[in-house]
Amino acid sequence: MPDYVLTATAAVEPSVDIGEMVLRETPLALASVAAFDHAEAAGQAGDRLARHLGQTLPGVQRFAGTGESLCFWTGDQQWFVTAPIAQEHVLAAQLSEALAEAAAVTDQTGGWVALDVEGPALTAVFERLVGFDVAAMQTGDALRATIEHIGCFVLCLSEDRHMRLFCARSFAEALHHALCVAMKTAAAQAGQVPG
Amino acid sequence: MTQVNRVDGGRLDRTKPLNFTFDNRSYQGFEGDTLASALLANGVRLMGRSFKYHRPRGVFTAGSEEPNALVSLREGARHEPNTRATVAELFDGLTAKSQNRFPSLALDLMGINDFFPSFLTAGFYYKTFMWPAAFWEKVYEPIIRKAAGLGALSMLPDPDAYDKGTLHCDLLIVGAGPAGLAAALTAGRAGARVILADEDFAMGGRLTMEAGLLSEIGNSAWLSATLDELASLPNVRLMRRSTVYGAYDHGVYGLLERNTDHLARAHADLPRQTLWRVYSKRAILCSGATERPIAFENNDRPGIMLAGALRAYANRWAVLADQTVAIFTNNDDGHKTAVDLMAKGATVAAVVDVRADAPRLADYPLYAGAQVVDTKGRLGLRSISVRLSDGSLKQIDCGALGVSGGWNPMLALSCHQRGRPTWNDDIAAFVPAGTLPVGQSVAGAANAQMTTHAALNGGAGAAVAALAELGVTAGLPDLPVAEDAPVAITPFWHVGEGKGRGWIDFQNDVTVKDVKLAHQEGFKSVEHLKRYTTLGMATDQGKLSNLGGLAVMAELSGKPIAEVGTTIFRPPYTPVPIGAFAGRHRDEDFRPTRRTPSHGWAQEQGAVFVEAGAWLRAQYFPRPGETHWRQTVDREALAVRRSVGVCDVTTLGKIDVQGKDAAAFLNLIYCNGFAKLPVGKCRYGLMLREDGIAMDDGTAARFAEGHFVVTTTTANAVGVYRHMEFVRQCLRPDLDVQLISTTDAWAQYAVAGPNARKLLQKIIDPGFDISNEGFAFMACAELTICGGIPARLFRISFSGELAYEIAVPTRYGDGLMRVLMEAGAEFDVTPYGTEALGVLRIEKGHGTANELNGQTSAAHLGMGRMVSTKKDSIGTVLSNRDGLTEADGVRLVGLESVDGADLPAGSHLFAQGAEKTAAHDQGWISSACYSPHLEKPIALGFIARGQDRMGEIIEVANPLQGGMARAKIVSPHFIDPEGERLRA
Repeated sequence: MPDYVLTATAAVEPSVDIGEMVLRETPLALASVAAFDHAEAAGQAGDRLARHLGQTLPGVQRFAGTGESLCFWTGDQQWFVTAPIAQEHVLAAQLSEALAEAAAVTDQTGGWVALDVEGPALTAVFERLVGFDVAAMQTGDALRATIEHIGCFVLCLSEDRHMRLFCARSFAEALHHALCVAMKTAAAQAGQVPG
Repeated sequence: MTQVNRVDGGRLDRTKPLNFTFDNRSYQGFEGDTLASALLANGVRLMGRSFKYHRPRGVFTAGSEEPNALVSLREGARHEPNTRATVAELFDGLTAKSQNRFPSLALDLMGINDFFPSFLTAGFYYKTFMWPAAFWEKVYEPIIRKAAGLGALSMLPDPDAYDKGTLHCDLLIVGAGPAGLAAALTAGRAGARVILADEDFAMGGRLTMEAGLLSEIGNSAWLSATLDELASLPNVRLMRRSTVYGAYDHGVYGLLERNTDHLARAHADLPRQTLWRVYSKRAILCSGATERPIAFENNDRPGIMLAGALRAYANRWAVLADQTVAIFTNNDDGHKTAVDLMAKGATVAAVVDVRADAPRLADYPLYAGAQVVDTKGRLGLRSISVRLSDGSLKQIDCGALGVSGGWNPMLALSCHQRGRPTWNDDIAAFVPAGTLPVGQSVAGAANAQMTTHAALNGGAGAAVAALAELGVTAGLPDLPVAEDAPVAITPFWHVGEGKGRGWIDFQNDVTVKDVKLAHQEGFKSVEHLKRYTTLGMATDQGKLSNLGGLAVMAELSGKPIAEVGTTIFRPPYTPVPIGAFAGRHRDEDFRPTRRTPSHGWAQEQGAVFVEAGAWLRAQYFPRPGETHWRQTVDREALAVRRSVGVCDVTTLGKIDVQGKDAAAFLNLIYCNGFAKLPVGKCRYGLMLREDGIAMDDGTAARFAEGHFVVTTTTANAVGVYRHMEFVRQCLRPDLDVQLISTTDAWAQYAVAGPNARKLLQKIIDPGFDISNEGFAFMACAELTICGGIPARLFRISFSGELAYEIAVPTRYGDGLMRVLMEAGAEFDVTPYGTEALGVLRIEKGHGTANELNGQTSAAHLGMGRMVSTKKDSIGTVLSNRDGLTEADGVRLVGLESVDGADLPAGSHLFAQGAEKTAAHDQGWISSACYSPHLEKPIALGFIARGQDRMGEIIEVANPLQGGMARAKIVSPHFIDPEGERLRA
């Protein structure tokens, strides 16, 4: 037993219910993958990543996978890969090994926070926050957005019902606050919360 | 019966009476009323005082174009001045007050202005207050400012919340009158995403205000069926109380939605108003038309209003402005008002029509070929003087006069992209021309389709055409049989008779005479006319007045109105509160705050925080008994030098650089060499801009042949990353390297002081050697702590002490701080904030953003020799240019206070006895502090030939704060210049 125990902490309060909606942090292991030039030309990075994940890689502004194990497109030949938090210390190493020098792999578990918003009629929440057409978002979409000056990825896990946002951890409380304000407004407007 | 002028009918809910006050008197209205309609119902005609002359004024319109009935609503911090009573929806408990009067609305002492109109003509500011010049600032301007304006602000912060957002649609329809509803029905049924917005709280436009437009089905039946159907369509968004106030580039529109203004008590989470940015693929402007007045002497008395407004009050709000009314018109529409009012039981005392061939629509006294030439009744209309066609003058008693000079299409939004409207003789008005905003079309009365039949068909047709452009096929809906009487009008703008004032712009008190004066004085361009007379300014933006002014100018110039042209139309269409533009971004929500991993822990310690860009960093950690921040900072700094301290340095930028060309890439961005840095080592690096000026500095650590972590200053973290991406993608795409920010991924703490190693040895897992031999100065390693948690350790020092920076994945950042405090207790470990961090680095002579301020080169910083001549790197060539390297240029030096006086940062440096002028300025102080170690104020600064002037006493001038001190030039390394401590 080590003399000192180091414990992980959540970025924001665990779960907030607002009207018929819930906002919570989903702890995830996360790593970035960016193909090196030499491997990109040969398509090696994508092939190896797809083989390792056992699925087709997502297209532009899309994600693949389910639940906590997702892979989403972040740029040309670039992806973010998430996994259950239990893999936080091994995810990057496993990816690195699987990609075998074809891509830069960087552990981003501590860098990004995933905030899940679930409930009915989420368009009313997100049309206050993002500039893109959130009503047109389909399950599997992964769009980059700036919310209150905070750079985010917005993943549509279920149309109008379940969104997952990723933001840099230092902004997590600020984004959490912005989400709460928008959710309260939408809930009040939809009559989900008595005045 | 208090509502003396209320009649039967209307679109009111009479089961819901509402109490309100106006100037502290209590009244009652009904749900569905506006403040204006409710006041009229209660027999209140006098609602305000005019801007310049303080003339008694009443409501003039029934819509957002209202120039006269401007009141202050609500009380306390929610007090809102200059609100149009015509669009203020009545609610129970509404308090309204008149404005611009003293002591009361009926008796206003400033009404004296009205007796000296010749002093307040067009341009009176420019003429009256010319002499003496010295009086302008001290005498005239304060008096004018006091007299100017209408309502007053509460001077309290706005307690309401505002919101903003973005909407997307295929088709935005502006205005829910007959044209807008027909368009929405057409597009909605075709499945297009439609937004139908109307500024009114009730949709329907003139369908709510007219009788019998839809002769077979009836206005109400079709309106409610249509609204029900639209509400049932999931692809249609109905937005009431929503004003589209501006048309911007690429089909973007500004829309203000009023959520709670009509509520006595709103839900705490509801924003008062929401500002929507609407992205539309196509837009149809169905904003209708507004009636225009005719100018004649004393045409501004309370009780005189637009004929269409008189009719609207009767039909929609069941209010007669007075029991006895008269009409003055130049077109057939005026006669409809007489008919509608008679149907509501009013006595029509006269219909005065300027046309000799005026039609007669009902049994009322008709005076064809006649003109209203004057009126009587100071606080409310009592009678009108009519010049009959035979030349005789007739007095006619009446309490209300409806004036109709024809109808103007509301085309403002069609012109927000600088479109110029064209003149249409058929309706004697400007109409939207072909130069519309991209994707916009115009339908209904806004497009000169002046009958209900034309509007319905125009709206539906416009929707079909707009959707066809989007590849959507839409069918025309069945439209009801509708009124289709042709427009019959004889243009008539002002009555020539009489020497008194005939008002063109009610809101700005501009008369026909003012326009004539402007013309006489050479202000003939419409834009000059506007500025000189103020015609068309303020909340109504000339909706009623512009055309009248243009007509008078056209007459004087001998040109047709079309040639005179209009002024430029600009957003907003109606006033938008500044609070709505700010939205949620106010106070602490003005911008997001970034929190460090130890933020929560620091809060528990009672830390004082400071903003560093978006970050909040602990500035210092006061302890009980410390009454001044200096005591705290001195203690923290000394504790580091004596034992060990911990500071959160997560905010410094971290950039992961990977790839086979990573070393070559770093060699390019840093002016000093990196290619040969061994794995497991850090190096201090200096980045230059292309122009040779120092950009940023920091350490880069090499974890593998192809893997570096670059550290930047907190301030430049984003800028350096952007610069590096630019270099990678644009300057050297041939280098195979990938970058990503890991600033947030790692919680990083400086552990500094003679006991730093001992502290870290307690938490680092066995098997990792961090002894001086095993882990020398500038070493770096990936290791584990506390039983397997991955960490990175860097032996670098910003304080000059034996020091490390330790990083763990950020989820463990809070935990690591707590562990360091616990493990360090035996060493009296001291958390220190940015203030002590600054003291320590100044004592050591380390530069930061204060020194790398965009004006200094490597030579200035005393690091000229770092710029490698053996390789190419960004900025190397230009760092050798004139002005950056000369021997007598400024150099970074240390400064010690000679007599104990502070050396404020920003002070300028002079040779002893030199005149304190710019010509003798030799440099400046960039950073300063009190050194608890040296027990005196010290500073870092730049001074000419600094390297050759060690020991010289100079003068430190601080003219801004009025101080003067003397300082000795010393090495910038106040502490341990040989670096023995940090290598210990």
